[in-house]
Amino acid sequence: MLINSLLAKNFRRYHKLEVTDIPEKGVVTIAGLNESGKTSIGEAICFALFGRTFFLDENNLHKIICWGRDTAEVTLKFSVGSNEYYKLYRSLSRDGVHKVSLSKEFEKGVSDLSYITLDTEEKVSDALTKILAFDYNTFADSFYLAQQELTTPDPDSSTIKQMAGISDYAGISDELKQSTEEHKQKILELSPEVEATETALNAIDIDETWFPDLIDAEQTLGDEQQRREALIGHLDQNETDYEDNIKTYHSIRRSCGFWKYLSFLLFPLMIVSWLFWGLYKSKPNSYENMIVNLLGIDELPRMMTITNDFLLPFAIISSVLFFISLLLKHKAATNLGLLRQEAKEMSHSMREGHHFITTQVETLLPERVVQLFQERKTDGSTVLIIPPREQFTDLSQLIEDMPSYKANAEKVSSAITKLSNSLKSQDIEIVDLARDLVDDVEQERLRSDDAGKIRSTLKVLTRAVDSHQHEIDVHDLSIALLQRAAGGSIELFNKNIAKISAIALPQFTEKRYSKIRIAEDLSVQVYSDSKKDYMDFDEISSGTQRQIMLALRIAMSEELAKNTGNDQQFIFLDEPFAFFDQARTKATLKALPNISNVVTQIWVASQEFPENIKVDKVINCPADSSELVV
Amino acid sequence: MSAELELRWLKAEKTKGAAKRFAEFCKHDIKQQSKLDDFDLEKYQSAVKLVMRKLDNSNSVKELFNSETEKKSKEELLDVD
Repeated sequence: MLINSLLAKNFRRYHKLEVTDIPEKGVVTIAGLNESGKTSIGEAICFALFGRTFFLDENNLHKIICWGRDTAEVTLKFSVGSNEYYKLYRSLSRDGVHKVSLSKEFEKGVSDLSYITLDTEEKVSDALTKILAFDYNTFADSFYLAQQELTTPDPDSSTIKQMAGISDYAGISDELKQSTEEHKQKILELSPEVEATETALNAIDIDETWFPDLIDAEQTLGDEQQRREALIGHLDQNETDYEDNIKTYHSIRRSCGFWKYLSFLLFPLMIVSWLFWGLYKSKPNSYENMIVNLLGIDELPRMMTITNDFLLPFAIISSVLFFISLLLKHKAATNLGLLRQEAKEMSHSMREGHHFITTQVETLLPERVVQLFQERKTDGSTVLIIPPREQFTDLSQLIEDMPSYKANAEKVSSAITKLSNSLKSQDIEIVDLARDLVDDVEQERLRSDDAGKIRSTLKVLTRAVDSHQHEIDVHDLSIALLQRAAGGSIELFNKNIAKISAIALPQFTEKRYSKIRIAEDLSVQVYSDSKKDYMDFDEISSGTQRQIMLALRIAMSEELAKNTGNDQQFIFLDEPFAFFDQARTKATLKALPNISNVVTQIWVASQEFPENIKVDKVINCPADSSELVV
Repeated sequence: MSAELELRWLKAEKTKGAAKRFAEFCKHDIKQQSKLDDFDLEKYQSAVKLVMRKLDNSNSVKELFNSETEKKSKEELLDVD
């Protein structure tokens, strides 16, 4: 963070204060006698940033208002990094009205129209915390050195943690620990509910395979019942059909024999008559010779007359009769085939019926369902689904004979009746079992539904517990990670402090002290080139102590700036040379611009400065004027 | 696996301050931690992301001002209406 300009009205002794054209790099000196307003410049910066000063907290802040005026105002323009420019305005009136606004410039120097402004104290404070990344206490312990305030650092202070870059780690670690406790508490709160849900689920004692078994058994019984009922219908029909068909079958069989015999007779007659007719028509002499040879010459005239009058009609009639007999024979044969097919189907139904009544339905059901039925079975109950109750010793032969209608109709009828009765008996038992099973299925369905609901609840609860546990694991891991990172940061911080101080110290002390050693507890030892050994801090003079502390302060400020993301930083040193002699002051002032690449803008307030020292901006505070414009 | 252990998604150069140091530390630390028997990469990455989220305020200032801009734009639109 670098200061670009400072404007104030009615602040402390100044009616008007304007400091502009401040170099980004170099030393800005503020010189003046006592009561000339040197410290007020630092206070104005501090007031703008934090709404208080090093000497005046919130309760006494009204003392910043210039005597006889109503409102003190400060406008501070500053930059962070290479491209973020801000304008901070803060005012305080005698009646306690405190106004603040923070604007962000898109570009340096662009008019106020391009500002975005935050205008509530809460928003500005929040934004400043994020922009600066340090608070008032850290600022006062690092970048703002108040008069006579130069002490050894406290390793446990929050400022040191912030300088070392571990205050964020510590803060986040505390936050995560708190969050972990909350997650643990959530798990504890969920535990009774989880246990109760598990107990409820165990109480139901659901067997995941039982419900599917019951459904399977219900389906099987339903199918078996349907098949039996359909078969009983077929068999009842078959009983009358076979009796009717057997008569028809034999009648048709006889007519078929007759037509077959007739066609057998008509066929030669038809052939012979057509041959004679052909011979008669094609070779009449040969036909006559054949008649004479067969019957004698005397019969020739009569036979010729018969041939001429009757042979053709006879051939035609015999042919027609032959084809009719063939047709009727074929029709009879077709009907016989149909009847045989019907008989075959009847025999198939009987075979199926026989299969049903000789098959125990229980063999089709899941074993545990059968076991349930057997457990329920009481004396005298017909419950078990067995049944061949009837013996059908001649059934196989009947079934064999039926397609050719050789089986006796009465025996068939009797067998069908027995089969049908057995199937009906079986059907009734199946219906009874299925009825019982419906209750079992419904009961198990309800239990299963209940178990499902409880299981869903348990799943949600378990997922919530797992989620909290995952958060705890991640938080624990994060805390461990932060602890390791903090350890590394402290080590690095100490090394860097020693390194930066080692650059500053020889320049401040004109090479009398060149090395500095900083322990983990931030206790300091300095290497004396003249004594060739490290000396404890209290072994050296107070002037040198303050030089060392100043070097340390700048080194720590550099670390803070780097750790808070500031590549360039201002520091305000109010009377840092109070206990320095001229030589020390000169050496220190000369060395200040070259110590750090980060702490580049160095404001130094002092009553007087040595001559012939090059500085980058000079501010002389007038003892007799309330206006300062530089 | 080696690519995952490099935490390539973690862009240290795009962050600053404590977030940058933490990101750089994690890139070094994961190589040591991954040698442990009970190392869980998924949880380690979650932990890094969690801490980075909390550390990285670099965008929050922009968000703060952006939300203010949006709010003012809406107010201006209402005024025009």
